[in-house]
Amino acid sequence: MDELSTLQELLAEPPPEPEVVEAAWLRLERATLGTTSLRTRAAAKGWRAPGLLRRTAGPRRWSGWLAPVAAAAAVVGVILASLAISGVLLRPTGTGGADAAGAFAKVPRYFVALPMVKGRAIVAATATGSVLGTVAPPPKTTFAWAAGAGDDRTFVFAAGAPPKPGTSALDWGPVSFYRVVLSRSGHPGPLVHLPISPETAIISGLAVSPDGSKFAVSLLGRTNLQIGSKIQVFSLATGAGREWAWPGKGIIGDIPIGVGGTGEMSWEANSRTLLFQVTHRTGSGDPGQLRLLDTATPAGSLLTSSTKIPVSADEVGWQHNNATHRIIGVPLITGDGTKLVASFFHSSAAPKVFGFTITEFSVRTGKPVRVVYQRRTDTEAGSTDVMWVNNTGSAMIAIRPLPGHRTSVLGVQTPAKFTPLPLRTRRLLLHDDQGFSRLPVW
Amino acid sequence: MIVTGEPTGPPATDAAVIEQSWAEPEQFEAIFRRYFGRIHQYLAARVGGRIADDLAAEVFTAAFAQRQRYDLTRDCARPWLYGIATNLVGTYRRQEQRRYRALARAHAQGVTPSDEDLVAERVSAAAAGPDLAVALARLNSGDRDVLLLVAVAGLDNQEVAQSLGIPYGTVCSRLSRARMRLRESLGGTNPADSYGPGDIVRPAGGRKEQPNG
Repeated sequence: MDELSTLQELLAEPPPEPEVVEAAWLRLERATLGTTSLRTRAAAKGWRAPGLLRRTAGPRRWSGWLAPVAAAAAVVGVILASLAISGVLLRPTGTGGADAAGAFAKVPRYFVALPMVKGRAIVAATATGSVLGTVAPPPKTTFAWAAGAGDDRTFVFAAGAPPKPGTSALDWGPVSFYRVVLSRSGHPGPLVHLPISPETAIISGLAVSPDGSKFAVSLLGRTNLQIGSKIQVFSLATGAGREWAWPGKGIIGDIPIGVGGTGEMSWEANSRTLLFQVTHRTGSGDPGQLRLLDTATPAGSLLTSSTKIPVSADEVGWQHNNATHRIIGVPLITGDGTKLVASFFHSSAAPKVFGFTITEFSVRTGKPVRVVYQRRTDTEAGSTDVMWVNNTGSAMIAIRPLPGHRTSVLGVQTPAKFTPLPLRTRRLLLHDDQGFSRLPVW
Repeated sequence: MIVTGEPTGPPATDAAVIEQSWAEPEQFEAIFRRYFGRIHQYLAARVGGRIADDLAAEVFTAAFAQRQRYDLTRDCARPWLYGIATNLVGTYRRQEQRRYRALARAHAQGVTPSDEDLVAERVSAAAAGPDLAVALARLNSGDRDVLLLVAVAGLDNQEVAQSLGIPYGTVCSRLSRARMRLRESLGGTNPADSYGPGDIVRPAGGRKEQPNG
């Protein structure tokens, strides 16, 4: 079996279900109704979805395509009604323009961006995109992870020898940890090696506490990604550490592809409570749990030292085959510890009604409490993600599409409006195709 | 009455159908019928089934809108449609990365190690999954487009060149580079050269232990 055959086997997908074909067919019909000749000719011939029941010709053509649209509208109506009933506030979102400086004042002034392949990290200003300095990895290493405290000063880097040809792409050499402190003007100080033993397990998450005093790293076992997951917390000043292990099967954080950054774990403002996600594999997907670790507890079991947030397991995790709504990725916790902020997705039966939102959930109840951005369309061309959130959830750095545009942009999202970051900042970070050219952390 | 919609008479070339659809738009149905399933499978392989449902529909909507610009000297519309599909994937790079990451997770966790696996490993897509998916994610987008048009869509190099609007030589070099990267992720050699799917390979002196579950 050569690499192409192996790849074919890995990516093999079944043919689409008939209702998917029909939904696509209906969309094509709708898209082409402006073509007079199509409408009249199709009506005359009873144009139909291939392989499906023929529809009656003539005026019923309209009902043929209106029915699913009406069904879609009904589904949207039900969703909106249910959100209204549950008290979720649907607020309008604006874009850019007015008072951009005010919006940028609500988020960290500086960020670090890791190159996606290798090379120097850059330090730049969020509001202007000005590059204030660069940070070189130690000789013969590449930056693998970075995370910021959100205090405009403290950043932690992980660097090691990248996987060699012929070895697993996850097989980094031992990874060491470093700190960089920015000056008041945002210029980076030296890369300082932290007195912590090099890490040989697979890093799946990194988060610096808001007071810049410690950082957490989540780790996966090398022989079995599901076994041996753990979280370690280290003092930046002394390197002293503490470790909590997840009993049994479970993956904390995410399997890293290339470089990794903030988001797999997040701290409350007390610099004591840490949000993490643990998932496990089942036949229908990877449901998960969101838990809060009290890092003041003694080292030991991650299960007993943490408490579960009552978000449904089906709404958390990865690749639920039948999920109609779920959190995308790992949520962030607000500094006050009251809310989770997440990119959220829902769908309904064909014809597809997709909804992409940025939603806040109550940590206490696990239920949605506010939708700060919503996009209800039958397709989501751009992706949505939250990369940083402030103490109360009143400001976040998010990536999302602008109204009327296909592509996503980075910007400051508040409940009232979305302010795109300056083009210069975005160009530092995003390719034209929306992939990150550098991974930013704040 | 169930209508299968099978065409009567000899099938027309795609180019002929598309030309007909300029004046008779409903003729475009034949293009939809011929290729929707394959385009959907290609997109599902890249961005996952749920997004593929929408993207595949978008491919044919876009193709219909662009049909009067179709190059009628090309009998087969397959490269054209895959080109549109690949361009649309370009706006979903982050979802594509998530898809490969999910694949890596699925294969990493889906294999339960036996005692035997602790000292040896089987070379198969399941075992290679995590590495392969990660390697795929790490390819640059241009190389990955070419690789997947060949491996998943089944286009030949000339068709890939047509599909992406790039020179034939560029296709060859991108494909070569992408295959080399995948081979490296599988251990640096073509597994078919040394052992088969059922063979047990001792790790000592061979490739390193897989981080699978």
